[in-house]
Amino acid sequence: MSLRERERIIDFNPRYLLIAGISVSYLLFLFAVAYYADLRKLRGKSLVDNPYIYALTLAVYCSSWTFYGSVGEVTNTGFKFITIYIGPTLTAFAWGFILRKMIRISKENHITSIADFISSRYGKCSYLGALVTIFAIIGIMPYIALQLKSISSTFELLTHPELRPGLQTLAAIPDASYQGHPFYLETAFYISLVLALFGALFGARHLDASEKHEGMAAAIATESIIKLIAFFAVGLFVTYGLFGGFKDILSRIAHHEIYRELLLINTSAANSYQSWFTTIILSMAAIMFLPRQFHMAVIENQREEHINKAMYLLPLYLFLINLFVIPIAFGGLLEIGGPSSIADNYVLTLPLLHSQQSLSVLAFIGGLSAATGMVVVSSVTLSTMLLNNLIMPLLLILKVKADLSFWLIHLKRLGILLIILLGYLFFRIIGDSYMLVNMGLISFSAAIQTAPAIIGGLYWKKGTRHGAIAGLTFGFNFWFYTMMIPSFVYSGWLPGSILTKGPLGLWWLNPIELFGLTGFDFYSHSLFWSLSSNIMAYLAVSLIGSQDEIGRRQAERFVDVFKPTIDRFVQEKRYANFPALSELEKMMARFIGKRKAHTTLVNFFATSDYTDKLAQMNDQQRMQLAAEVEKSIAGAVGSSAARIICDTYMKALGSEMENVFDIFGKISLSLEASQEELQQRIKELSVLYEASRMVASSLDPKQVMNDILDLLVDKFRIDNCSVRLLDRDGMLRIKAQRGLRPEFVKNSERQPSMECYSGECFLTGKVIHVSDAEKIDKPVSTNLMTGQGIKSFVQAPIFSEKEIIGVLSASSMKEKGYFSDKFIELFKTLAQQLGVAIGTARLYDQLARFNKQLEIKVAERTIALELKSIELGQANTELKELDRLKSEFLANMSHELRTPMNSIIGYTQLLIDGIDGPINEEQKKSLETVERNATNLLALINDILDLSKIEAGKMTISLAPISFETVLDETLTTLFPLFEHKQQHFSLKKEESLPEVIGDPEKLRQILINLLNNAIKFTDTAGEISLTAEVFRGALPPGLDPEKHYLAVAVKDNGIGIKTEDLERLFGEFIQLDASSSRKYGGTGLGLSITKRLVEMHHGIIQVDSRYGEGSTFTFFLPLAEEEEGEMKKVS
Amino acid sequence: MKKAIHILYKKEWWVIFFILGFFLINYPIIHIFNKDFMIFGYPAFYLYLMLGWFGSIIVIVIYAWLSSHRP
Repeated sequence: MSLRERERIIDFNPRYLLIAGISVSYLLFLFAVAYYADLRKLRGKSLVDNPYIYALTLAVYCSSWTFYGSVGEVTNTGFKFITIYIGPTLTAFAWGFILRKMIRISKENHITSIADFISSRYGKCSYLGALVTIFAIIGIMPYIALQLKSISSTFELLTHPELRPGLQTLAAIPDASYQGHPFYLETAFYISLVLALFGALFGARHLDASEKHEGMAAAIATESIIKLIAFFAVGLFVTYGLFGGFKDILSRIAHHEIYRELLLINTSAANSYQSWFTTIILSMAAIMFLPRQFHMAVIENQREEHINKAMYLLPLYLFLINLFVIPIAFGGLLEIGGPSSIADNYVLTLPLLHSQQSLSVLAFIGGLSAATGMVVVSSVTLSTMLLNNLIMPLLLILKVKADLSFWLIHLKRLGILLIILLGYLFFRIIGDSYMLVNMGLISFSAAIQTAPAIIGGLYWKKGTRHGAIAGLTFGFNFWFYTMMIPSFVYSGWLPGSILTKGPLGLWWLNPIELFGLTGFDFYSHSLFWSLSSNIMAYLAVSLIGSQDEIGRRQAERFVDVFKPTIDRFVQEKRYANFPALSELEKMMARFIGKRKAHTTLVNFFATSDYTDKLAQMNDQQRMQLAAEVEKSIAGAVGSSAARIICDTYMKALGSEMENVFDIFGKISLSLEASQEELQQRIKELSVLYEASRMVASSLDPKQVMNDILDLLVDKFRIDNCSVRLLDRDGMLRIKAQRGLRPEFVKNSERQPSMECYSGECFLTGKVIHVSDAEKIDKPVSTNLMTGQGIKSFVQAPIFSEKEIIGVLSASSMKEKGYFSDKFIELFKTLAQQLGVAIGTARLYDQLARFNKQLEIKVAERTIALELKSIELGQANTELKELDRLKSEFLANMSHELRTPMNSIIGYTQLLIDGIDGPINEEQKKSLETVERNATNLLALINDILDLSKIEAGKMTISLAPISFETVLDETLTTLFPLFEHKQQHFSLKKEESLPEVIGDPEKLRQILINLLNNAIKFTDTAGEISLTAEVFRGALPPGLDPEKHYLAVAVKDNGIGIKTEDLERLFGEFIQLDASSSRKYGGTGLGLSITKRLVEMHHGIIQVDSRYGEGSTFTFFLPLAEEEEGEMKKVS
Repeated sequence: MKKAIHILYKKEWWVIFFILGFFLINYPIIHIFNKDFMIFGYPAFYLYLMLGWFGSIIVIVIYAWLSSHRP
């Protein structure tokens, strides 16, 4: 057995066992980490739910191609390797938008892989998913082989000291395939098995691939740390251990005559500016669209906000792990030299060369980490894609009816094993061919082909399924033709003439100069053709074709993922026969297991008691449930398979999706087709408008009810509809109806109770929709409904204010599920309007009744009042007449009486004087009595005459400016004898030269006499009486004109006085305060009354101030003549 | 200062930085540095790449900080 043959097979030298032991221990350590993370997750304390771990898992980007290959690349193309890592840094700028959106979409749609993502975006198209899966497997498999190769060859390097550099066996690093010995002797085979075990254990623990693999993520993150530490250790050793730091190495290279070229790019086709640009583009796409990157960044993402930190942590990681690539590479060149195939191992060989055993083992572990991480994640990802996008659809097409839940998880594990073993097979077949070494960039070139479909799918709703298929097909075919075919040629599997003369001698089909495009490097040439054709086909075909409904819906779900849900789900379909929930659960259990199926339903209904919920669900809820079921299955088998599963299942049960009955006409699902939507909206609004117009125009509840029922029948072709209202006796009765049989109307009369639907609606205030009247659970209603032949119905409560007053019902005899959710919404609104109308009408009715009652009362009162008023008027007239008659009578009578009285007095005096003959003393006394009484009587008559004259308006006075002094003097002259007679002391106080007053001298004299007479009369003998006359200068008492000046005349005595309570009636007619006083003092009782009227006729007033027993003061005011001088006024 | 930070809150900046980064790392800008001369004893192109790379990471740090502290 040659050395070359030996090196790959299992060997049992101690070094081999040691390294194998370390490797296995390390893998066991990873198992432990993964197991611990899974355990932590079960306990609800996730280990990986933080941005740092997330960023570290993304570092799965750095495979062994980075760990070993970068160094080798430097020795070939200088700094060009850096583009592979700067590209992701640039992409990180866009993560805030693109990655966030991809994560949100994937979470909402239970996306399981990149193939699933594309398939789901373009209408859950299983063909697309299969296409991407196949291309991904073709593109990634060799990449896995590359990792296996790196593990295997570095393992050998460590275990076979004879292979070490410096032993002249450098060329022994294998460069050809090995088929000479059985696979079970190869190290790589066992490595593959261990990795497959790892993948199966931690990448396929659950069926639901959209669930996180926390164990795997934790292991990957650990590996990322290990590989960084390992690379850093080697880097530090080389840079500062072997050389004097960065500057030293770089300056040495700068002064090296051959290697100095490596400090620049654009020195060969391999590192031209063009290829530099190409690699940047490729790596920018790879960090997001490589299946393993998509998996770690999107599927395994725990929280969207982790992006915020990961977007700089990952570039920082890439920066750090590449920091020592250049020193190691240049150090290796300076120390070891040799071609890049040797340079690939500098990380290992440099420590080995300097007998740094443990460092080399650490480096090996770092490389092992890089390789296994990539292999595990890729295999899990590809296996998921394989299962969900190829095997499941195939099984479904073949109508495999077995219970798949058991098989699915094992199929998935099998898939992981299969992928890794395929990688191993590749490794065996192609060995160290050209292709394997370049597989990194070839994989990148394949991954970027998904970019147009994904980015277009994220932001362009018009991107269609056919566009995506066309783009991907073009892209992958060009990729295959311009990249894989030349690789096969370089690997020697195809004749070299293809690349020189073109296939079959057709120069324009030369894969590296396609259509005569020369001057491009290999990668740029391929990228140009594949990506440009991909983009053009995607755009053009999308624009030419149109989308079906599911495509449109998915496009909206994806593009508008950040918009509120309500905009995105417009229902237009519904299920005609929806399966029972128990059946649904059974179906789900086939794919996701019993427990998960149960929890899905429990979560959907938010209750574990959901079995009887179906009848109450409306169309939209059923659609949502169906979507939920599909999603939960999608988590296990991918979206396209889930769609097929659900569709075929529903079909098998006779439950088909159908268009919602044309109750509103065709409603377009897409918001873009908003014209139809708009028309629909207009129609709805017009119905509502009409309803509200009816409500507003009529105040008759019956009228409104009938109008709205007519509207329902007319516009929506409702078979039966009715309005039930609660009567005062607590019975719910049909008040208006259309299309119902009389017995229905009669039988439906009952008190509201939960035993019938109208009662339930009334009591709960909720809209009740039963889409299948056969499946109802209220016996009372069942009889009614079936009697009437009702297939589906809806009932909405009628609210007035906040009180439920009745129920609006509509039913269909035509079909089940007649009422769409939109209609129910409208129906609800109609019920509300009806409630408002009835409420208003009732209020109005009440108001009208009140009004009427009030009117009657008012009328009654008015009549009564009018009658009273007439009576009063009459009485008033009568009274006035009586008063006048009285006055007239008195005036006449007084006059008639006065004449004889004068005669009596005159003749009596003659008799007393003895003119007719002498009389004796006795006779004289009697005659004197007659004369005194007659005089009194005459005085009385005079007074009455005066008063009645005044009252009858026959008293005339002539007002003119006169001298009050003159009047006063004349009056006093006549009264002095009286004072003397009673020996009363009289004093007069007056201003000198009093101004003239407006007055009638005759009447003024009468006033003065009346007042002074009273004073004399009610003052005892030797009493004091005074009269004061002055221009009044104080505040005028009320009743006088404040603009004028007045003369105040006060007559004061110290006589008997007047009691306070009598003051008010003092000026009344025939008033003598004490009944005895008239006898004692004489007088008619009319004096003050006349005085008052006389004063008033002078536009003055009279006041009295008195204290009982002390005396009285009567003051009257007369206007001065100053302003009215010369003016005569006649008052009547 | 406040105004400057406020301006940076605009998302469009990050598209601009993205495009700027893309230009800075490609021909013809790199052609300026892809020449045989040294700065501070380091090859000019090496220094440009490493500093530029690190600088762009700093920019992302600022962006991430701003977007998680958006008022």
